[in-house]
Amino acid sequence: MLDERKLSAARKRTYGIGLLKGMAVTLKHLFKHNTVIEYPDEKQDLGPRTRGVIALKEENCTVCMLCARECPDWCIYIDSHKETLPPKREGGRPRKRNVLDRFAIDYALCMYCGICVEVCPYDALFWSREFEYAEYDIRQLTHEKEKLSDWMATVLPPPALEAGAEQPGQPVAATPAAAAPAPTAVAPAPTAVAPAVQPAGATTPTPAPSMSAPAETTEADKARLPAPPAHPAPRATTDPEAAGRSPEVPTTGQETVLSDQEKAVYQEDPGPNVDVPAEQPQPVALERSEDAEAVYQQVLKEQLDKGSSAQVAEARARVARAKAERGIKRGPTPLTVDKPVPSAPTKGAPRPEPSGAPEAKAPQPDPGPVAAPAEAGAAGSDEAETSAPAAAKEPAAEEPPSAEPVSTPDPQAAAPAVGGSDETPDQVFERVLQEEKAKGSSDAVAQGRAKAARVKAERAQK
Amino acid sequence: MFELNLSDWQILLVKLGLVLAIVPAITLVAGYAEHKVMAHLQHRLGPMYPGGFHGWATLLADGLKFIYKEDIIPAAADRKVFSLAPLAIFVPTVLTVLVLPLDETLVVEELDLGLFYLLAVSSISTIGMLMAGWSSSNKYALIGALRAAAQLIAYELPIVLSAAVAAMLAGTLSLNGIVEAQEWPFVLWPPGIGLIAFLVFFGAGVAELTRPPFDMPVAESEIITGAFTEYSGMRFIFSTFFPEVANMVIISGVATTLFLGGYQPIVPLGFLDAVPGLVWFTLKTAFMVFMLLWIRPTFPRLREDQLQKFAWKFLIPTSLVLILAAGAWVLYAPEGLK
Amino acid sequence: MNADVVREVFFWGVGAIMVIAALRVVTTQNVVHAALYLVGTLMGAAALYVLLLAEFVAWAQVLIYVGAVVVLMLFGLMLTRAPIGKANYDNSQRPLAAVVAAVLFGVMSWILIDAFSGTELELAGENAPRTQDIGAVIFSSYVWPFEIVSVLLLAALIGAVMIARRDEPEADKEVGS
Repeated sequence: MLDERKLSAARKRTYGIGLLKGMAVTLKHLFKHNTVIEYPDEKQDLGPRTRGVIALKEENCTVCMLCARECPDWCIYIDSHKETLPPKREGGRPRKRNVLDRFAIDYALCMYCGICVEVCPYDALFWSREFEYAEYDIRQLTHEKEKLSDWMATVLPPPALEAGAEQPGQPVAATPAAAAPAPTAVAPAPTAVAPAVQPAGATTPTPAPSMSAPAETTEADKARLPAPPAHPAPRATTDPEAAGRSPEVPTTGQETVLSDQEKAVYQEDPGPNVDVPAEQPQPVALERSEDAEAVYQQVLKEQLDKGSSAQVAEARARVARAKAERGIKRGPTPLTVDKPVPSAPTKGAPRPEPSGAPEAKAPQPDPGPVAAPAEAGAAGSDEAETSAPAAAKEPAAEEPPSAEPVSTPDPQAAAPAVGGSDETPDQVFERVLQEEKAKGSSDAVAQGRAKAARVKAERAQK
Repeated sequence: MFELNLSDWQILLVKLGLVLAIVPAITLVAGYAEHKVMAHLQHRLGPMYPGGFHGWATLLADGLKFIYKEDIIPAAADRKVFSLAPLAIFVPTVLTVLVLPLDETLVVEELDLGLFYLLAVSSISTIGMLMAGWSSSNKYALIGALRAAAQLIAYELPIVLSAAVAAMLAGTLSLNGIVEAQEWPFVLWPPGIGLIAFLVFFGAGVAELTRPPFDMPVAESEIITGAFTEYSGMRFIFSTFFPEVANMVIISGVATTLFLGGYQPIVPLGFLDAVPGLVWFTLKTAFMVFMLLWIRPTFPRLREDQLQKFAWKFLIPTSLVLILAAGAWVLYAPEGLK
Repeated sequence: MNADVVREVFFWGVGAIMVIAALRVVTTQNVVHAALYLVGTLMGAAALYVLLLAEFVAWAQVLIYVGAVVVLMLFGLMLTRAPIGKANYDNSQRPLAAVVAAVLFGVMSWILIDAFSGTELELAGENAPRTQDIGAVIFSSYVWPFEIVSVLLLAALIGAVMIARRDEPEADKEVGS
């Protein structure tokens, strides 16, 4: 009945009044201010979580293949090979790990369901706001990992937690963009220790750029830090690991830049493929007072000066501002190095993470018990000369007066520094444990690290 | 009148050349206006890029694009009829312009039977639609052509009848004569008759143009431009875009001439005579074009049966009554009121 | 160039087109083509009317025959049967039709030549035919034929509506309920 009444009401004659009403509506729009965004000239401010394209954080990928398998379109292509790493300690088993060779997404097939992002257990895939990646040829829409990694630059950090929300155990671990580049740092170790085991071409490019990085970052650090501490102690109070990575040490002018604790921590630094999650908090105490807006402006300007596109520059600047607002201080590099956002490493370009650099150097002091110093030195020099020119260049740049930068093997120089430490292994254990707990690491992790540090210290004593 | 000599031929050629140059130019302007006005009515901007300033060169670029496009004739098509159909639509469109008086003397050829000629010539294009639809060997094209024919035949009657009202009121079939007879435009005087006749003419004109809400013959969402589904390149322009926009202007011009006083001022006030007739004509025609553009994004498409019902059950009876009323007015209205 | 010469050229040109088109109407194997050739013939006739300054008849020819009658023919053909390509609709009456057409042609020609041979029409000047005169004549001397034709057409119209109409009161009720 109601329907019938409605129907009859709708059928009632209105003698064209309805037509006039309709015309009035469109006429009103003729005089309304237009809100059209003229796209190529003017860009919409997309939401921070916009699902534009899928970006890859390459160093987080463990080639678990979950994304490729879950993809409804089968548009993710992954190639990898296995690498055998030498045992971590004498008598241990050689470790195996997957190395990502190819990671490509065919965006001509992708339907942007985001399932791959959801299933990724290691936070290697993210939604980026980027959407301008049209190509003239459909085949070019298959984007390789280099391009996918580039898009990490446009991934914004997650929004701040609500007030009163439960704080995560590891504050920084929550920020995907800030994940520690541990894999890259670990990789060099085997090359230095056992070049024969590992195909040189696969990993050597990585240490080379990372070793060249500190040369730049050091300068920046020196400029920024009010008083670069020569002694490791003050740094140790903040975070030994970060201190180990933060390359202020070269200011001593020594090749052997690592204190024993640093080395200890560093050598045991577990890669993401080992037992501890890769995301390690690494706050570096830098310019805490920096104004977020100033950071934003500075980054924006730097990016634009560098020739980044306006959108990329803005995105990076926003990332920097967001970090500044939340008091997360990455190393200074993001603001000064070529690729300022740490989460956007590009293949071939120098890795911006300052943290990677000292670790890359560290394998050289490491092999003490494994290889004779002379052998290690020879291997190291070969390595430096053949496949890692940057490594050879770096000491020269840093210490021109050094007579034989290449042939000066790190272990020899490092040994006295390590020996010079007056801490006993047990003290090291206690100290590292305290620090880890202070940092908020879980008990197991803290214990593990502390133990590792003790072992290192013992080894160093020998 | 028939003393042709060489200079007459030259005049004729010049006139034809002018028509062939001006009609496409006006079509471009009107087409651009259609793009922009419709966009703004829909809260959009319309074309903004080609040419730099608000996309003024959009249609030039479009035309260039169409010229470069491949001219495809379906394998199963009737090639001769298929090729001739755009001509059968395009030529009548140009021919109708010849008699429109833009100003007192600004008319290509002043005919005694201008109105009759105009209606006759514009009816030819229906055949072009049927030719295009049939020869395409495509069911959508054929459906579109049949819809177009049914619609054009149905709406030709109210157009002719309401135009007859204007002719009766003016007492002549000459377009210039009709304009001269409108000291007050027919739409204002005689009261009611002229206005209703104008509305009937306008409504039927919208249908004759196959524009929304009467665009079933070309309904892109149902039968994909109807009769012209298979057309591409220049043939497409000459069979759809050009006639559609040009006819829009022409119908507006005819409505202006018949009911809005043509090149005469809109009201007979002395000081308005200072404005040239061409300006009046252009303004009125532009207003009519705007009305057509305004209607297009406002109303949804009708159903085929509603369309026929509207013509046969409403417009035609109305215009028949109007003819009676106009006759009565002409015969019996007091002399002072005429 | 003499106006008469121009007129002659036009007349013979248009005449030739008409004859060819008319022949094609009856010889072509495609009904739609036949209808389109008929358009050519009718348009040619209109052109000849224009040459004779019979504007009104010319435009009436275009409006009614080209714009309505042929369109309706095409409409009907396309609604029913109008294949692309050749289709033979000839039947055994073809010779008979030819004979009838020839006889008609002969009789019409003879009558016209007999009636108007040597008549000079004055196309310009005072006595030139005007549309106004046609209207006056139709509604005075020829008002009876005019009205009779009108009534005939009206009857045809109503008859067509009656044939096409289907009374379905039941269906209407169903829609309403």
